[in-house]
Amino acid sequence: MQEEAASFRDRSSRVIYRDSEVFRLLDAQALSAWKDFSSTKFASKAMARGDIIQTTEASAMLASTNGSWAGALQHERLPFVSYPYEWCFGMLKDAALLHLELLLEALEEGLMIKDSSAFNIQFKDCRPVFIDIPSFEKWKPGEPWIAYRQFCEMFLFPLMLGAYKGIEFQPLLRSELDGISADYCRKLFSARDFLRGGAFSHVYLQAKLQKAFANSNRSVKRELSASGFHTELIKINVRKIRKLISKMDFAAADSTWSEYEKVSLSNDTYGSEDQRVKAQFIGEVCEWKPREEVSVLGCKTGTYALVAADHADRVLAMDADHLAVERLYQNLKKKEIKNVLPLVMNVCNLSPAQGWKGLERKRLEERSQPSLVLALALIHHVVISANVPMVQLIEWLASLEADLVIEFATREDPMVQRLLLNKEDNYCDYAQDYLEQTLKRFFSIESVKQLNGGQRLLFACRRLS
Amino acid sequence: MPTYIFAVICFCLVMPETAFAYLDPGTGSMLLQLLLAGLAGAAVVCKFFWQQISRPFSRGGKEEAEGTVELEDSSDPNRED
Repeated sequence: MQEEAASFRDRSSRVIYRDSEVFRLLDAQALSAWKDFSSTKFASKAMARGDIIQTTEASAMLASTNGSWAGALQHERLPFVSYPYEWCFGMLKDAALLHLELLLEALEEGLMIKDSSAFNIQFKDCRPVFIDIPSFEKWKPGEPWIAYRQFCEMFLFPLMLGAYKGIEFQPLLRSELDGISADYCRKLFSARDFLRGGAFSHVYLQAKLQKAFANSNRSVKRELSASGFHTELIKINVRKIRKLISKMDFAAADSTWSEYEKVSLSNDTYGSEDQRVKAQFIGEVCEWKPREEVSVLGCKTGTYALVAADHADRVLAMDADHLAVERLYQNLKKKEIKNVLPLVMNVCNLSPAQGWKGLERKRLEERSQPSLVLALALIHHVVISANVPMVQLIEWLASLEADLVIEFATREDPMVQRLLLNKEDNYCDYAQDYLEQTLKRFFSIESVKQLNGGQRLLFACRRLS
Repeated sequence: MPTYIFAVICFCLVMPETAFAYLDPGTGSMLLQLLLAGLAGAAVVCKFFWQQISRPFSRGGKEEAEGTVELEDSSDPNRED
């Protein structure tokens, strides 16, 4: 058995893994909360809809513990765990709306969600699913929405920054794992921003009230309870925030890669015939063997991630361009494509291991086991723009232990010429011969395809065992 | 809206002067929920403030003023798995 390193904050339960199964051990209090939760119609309906992770009792599991736990649950295992700082705006928005919907439904049946961590939501089949069952507990009469502050910090404020200021929340949430505080958000807002929906009350006023009452030694929670705080007040607030968030969209209209399809067809990088050939080439490599997971690095708006999706159980589609990923996510929702997970990820700065003891949030490579990696139109950006030596890039790709489709843009390619335009060309390693020679250390090159009159080359590489 | 403005003014009047943000920023967030609820929260706001006004004259309030500190419930909103 292996304990989940991130499962320590709530002492009443602990997530453990046995082989490929996920269990949650509960103390007596958490077991009682589970009984309350699982006996409601809300629980069965939400699980049937797929809004809450499929969970069953697994008492037999207790026999293999040291006797300090009162109950055990088994959760459905998710194939990939993503973090809020890897989501695009639309994903965080949908996760926030799911949290609020579940809270409203839970309140109807006398339950409360005791925390609002965005890490308690995951994406499965390209839609959010709530995974932290012990968060549901009986609402205590008179109790306010205790997790309101946390909801603001992990959902509302990052979304406000995106919608009102055009600020990408991913770098902020990646460094501030507990979210963005009201005071921090207030400092980023101008006076005009406080005229936007909810900004004055949720940001400005909350920051001021937090500061003013920070040294209070009174139990405001108890006083509010004695004053007759009731669930209707919570529901009113939750509905208001739901309305506010449902109207939000990211402020900036486009970016370098969000218009990728239009741009790539208009700037002579590819013709539509080249795109067809490229898609066919990728499809053929996918079919070498059954593909459980395919990673697409630098997926842009996901044209070739969708090609891979036709041949694989699941596809991780990653790009550093937040808006390109946003466009892909909206497209996936529209077309109801369920086996692609879009992620905001910079190849040169992948999600690291971090949090408590550096174990709480895992690095990308630890969570992903692709059998095929697509690195399309990527290496010139990594080698020339980010100055990563070619050999290091290939060594890292080889460390993923997967087959590889890699696209090389020659020095005649317009994009490569543009990247070199204002740089001193000391990229002697950026050469086709050197690439092939380095690839052959780890892969066998099965086929090569020319695109755009030979300005670009596709290599199909089988990982040597 | 008038209730909201009234409530905001009331809160501003009772805001303490000094602050130590590392202690408990959650208290202010709990109080804000009363303001956000608008009219529906008005009755609770009135009762809450009546408690603040009457507290110094009550037995419990005197004890608290002499140094008895009520402990917060141990619920931690930052828990997650």
